[in-house]
Amino acid sequence: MKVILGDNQFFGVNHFDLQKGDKTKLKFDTTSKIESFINDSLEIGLDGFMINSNEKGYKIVNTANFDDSKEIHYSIPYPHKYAGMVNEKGMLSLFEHVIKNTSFIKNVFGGIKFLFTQDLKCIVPLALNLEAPRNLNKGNYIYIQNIITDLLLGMGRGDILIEFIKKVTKMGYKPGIITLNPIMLDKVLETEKEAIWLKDLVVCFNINKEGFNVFPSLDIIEDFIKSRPKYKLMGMSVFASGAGNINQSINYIKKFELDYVVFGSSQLENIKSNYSLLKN
Amino acid sequence: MKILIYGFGRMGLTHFSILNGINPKIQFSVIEPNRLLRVLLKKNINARFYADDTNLKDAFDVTLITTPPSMHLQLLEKSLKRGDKKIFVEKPFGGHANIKLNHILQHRNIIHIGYVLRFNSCIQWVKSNINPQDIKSIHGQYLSNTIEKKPSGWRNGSFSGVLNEMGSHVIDLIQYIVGDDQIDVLSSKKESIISDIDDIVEATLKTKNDISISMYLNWVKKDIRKPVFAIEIEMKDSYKYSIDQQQVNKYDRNGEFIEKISITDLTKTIPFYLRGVDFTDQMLDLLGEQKIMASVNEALVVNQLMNKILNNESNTRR
Repeated sequence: MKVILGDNQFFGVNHFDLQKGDKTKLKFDTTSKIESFINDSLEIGLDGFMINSNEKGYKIVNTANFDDSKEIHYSIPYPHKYAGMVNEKGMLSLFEHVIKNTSFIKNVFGGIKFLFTQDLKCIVPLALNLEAPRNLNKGNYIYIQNIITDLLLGMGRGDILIEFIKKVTKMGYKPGIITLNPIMLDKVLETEKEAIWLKDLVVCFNINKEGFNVFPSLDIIEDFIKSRPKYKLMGMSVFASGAGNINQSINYIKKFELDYVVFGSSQLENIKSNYSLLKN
Repeated sequence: MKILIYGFGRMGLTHFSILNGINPKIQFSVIEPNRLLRVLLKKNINARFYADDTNLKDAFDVTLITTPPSMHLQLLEKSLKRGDKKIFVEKPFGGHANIKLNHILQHRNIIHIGYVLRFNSCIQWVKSNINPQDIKSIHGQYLSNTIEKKPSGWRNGSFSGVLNEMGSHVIDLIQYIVGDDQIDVLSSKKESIISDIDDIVEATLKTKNDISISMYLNWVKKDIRKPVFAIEIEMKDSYKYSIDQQQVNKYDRNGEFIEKISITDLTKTIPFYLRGVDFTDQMLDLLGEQKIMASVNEALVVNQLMNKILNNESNTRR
């Protein structure tokens, strides 16, 4: 099981305690502090780190140097930016933003295709072009955030997720999907049982012994993990956003054959002890 | 089941996606007047799209009105005339100006208003564990960084503002917790910082049962990443509860912490997740027995209070 550093602590996300989230955000108020914390965590032995495509995340991946043997799991898009855009200017502003900000070449091919078909699938390469940092080394991972995954699943547009996976693979990266509805996603992936990319795909979902934000239910997700799908499984929120007892949470997680676990903390000592407990 | 959605903005899309995620057999019809958006949606979403409702004569099982608030009342009247069986209107149900509605109250049992924060697990804990008769005072707060630039369209007009859009949630929660719909406004103050309407609102109120209420709303607070609502309750025995989306903290009369009830203690299972457990629970309640959802009467009380707050003589505009 590979252990990946999460990024919630860098950006003030704490599903358990909002005030605590705001405090840790202050600790990481510059990209150099985040970069330094990531490097220290990788030196402890973590296998890589996950980071979101917000302004700081993009800059870090584009400019910082990390050990090439470590994995970067880059997630797109930054949902709050787009939610704000929709609030202020309406739904169509999203398309306007993507088309205005992607490269000319991508726009000529992708934009024309979108204009003729009006199929949202044609937006996928444009969005990837916009969100993926140029200096993200091939072979690393690009994920789609759960707010988009789950919206598309609800809309009945799992085919757009398949398109995302294919385009990421074609770009030379490995695909990842974050979702809070892994069973529904698994049904979409059933149509792609023979796809070559399936072995590289990572599906990231909540799992913790408290069953906090584990959907549709803890029992069903435990059975899902035990069924060992052909793609890789990554457990997130394994400490129930800080609510759980660390030792018990880790013992619980180690019962399962997960390929990855992602967790965050603003304290290096916690990273070190959690890593040690997970690996031993 | 046949569901009609008026307006396919962010909320229309959210509710559609949740309902479709819960039950893919639902047949959806959508009224979206924006032609470009309609063309795009038709190609991408399995629903019938219409520019208007002129040709929709048959009653729907459920109708969702998720348009800007200025159209809520007009569309509600049309839905009632068509004989729709359940009608869900997004908060704040027409906003502070929508207060004289005797003609629709006969249909109160089928009209439900989307005050989603009621579905938060911590609020449900408070509703089940705190006796309103023991409450001395209650303070409601809503902080966010929603408005970073001057908004355009209806969001910069009288149907918007922090009171209509966020304060309505806080007033509804307070009304829901105290279980009293007879509330008076004692004082109020509003400020415009970025928009041309209210960006910051403060008010004090009192219920018929003498519970003191205060509110502070601010949607231009730059250091807030994610919207935060908070309720502070002081009991007659001086014990206090501090409540937000994630926890309920209890303190004794000396201010010493006693216990915490965390959202992780109140874990729920839902069949489909998007944007929060509360949103899915709201749609499940709508399809079910509407036990938690706000009634039209309760929403009208919220509108009347907002009207008084915005028009109160003690208002100061800086």
